[in-house]
Amino acid sequence: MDVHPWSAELEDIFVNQRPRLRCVAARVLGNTDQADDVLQDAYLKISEATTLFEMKQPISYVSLVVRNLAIDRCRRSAFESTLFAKEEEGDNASCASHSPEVIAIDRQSLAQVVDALDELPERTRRAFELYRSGSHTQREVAQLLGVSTTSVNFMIRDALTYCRQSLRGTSLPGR
Amino acid sequence: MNNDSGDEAVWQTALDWLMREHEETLSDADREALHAWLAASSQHRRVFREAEQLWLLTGMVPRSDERR
Repeated sequence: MDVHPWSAELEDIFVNQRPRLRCVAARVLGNTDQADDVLQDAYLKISEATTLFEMKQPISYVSLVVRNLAIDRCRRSAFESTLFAKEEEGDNASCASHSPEVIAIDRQSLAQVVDALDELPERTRRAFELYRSGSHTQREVAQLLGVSTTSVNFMIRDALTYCRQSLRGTSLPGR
Repeated sequence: MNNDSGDEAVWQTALDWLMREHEETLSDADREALHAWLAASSQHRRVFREAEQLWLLTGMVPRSDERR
């Protein structure tokens, strides 16, 4: 079995830093009920990803993933009922069933996204990273990079669109 | 119906909503508007789902300066 150096660190983090990680999740979720689910989810997803990159500070990476998974869960719960209700009504049911599967959250997709982001022009990548981290608004990213807010908005769209094309196995025209 | 230009417009709208959700807690009016947009077509739902999944994936990528 291919045991990666920080797989062991990962076990340690999820065991010994559990209270801290539960706090990260609970703060986003607004309660502790689903915090353990999020932690479990994070553990499974990160375990798959350990061979993709080496982290300087695994604990900050784990916290980041826990936080982002919790945010995702919150956002989804607000719409899941609407979405499912619609699909069950049979609204364009044939169309929905023939549509390509939405992006899977797995190791392969993550590897493709890592590669796609690495292929972006440096400034576009930087703009996207700063924005995605959640600590900067588009305006702040613009100030940090010395470009217009409009440019930053386009760079974020470019980054996501490029990742999407990359996951679909097609390249963006002109790149 | 699922031509490229149509898909591109839907994708850009999905990104609009994604960014708004990332930046702020949506107001009730915004939330209703998003619901209405999602309810309007299965393509909207599928593309928005795709955008959400991709957004989540990018949230699992460590920043380049944090990788060893």
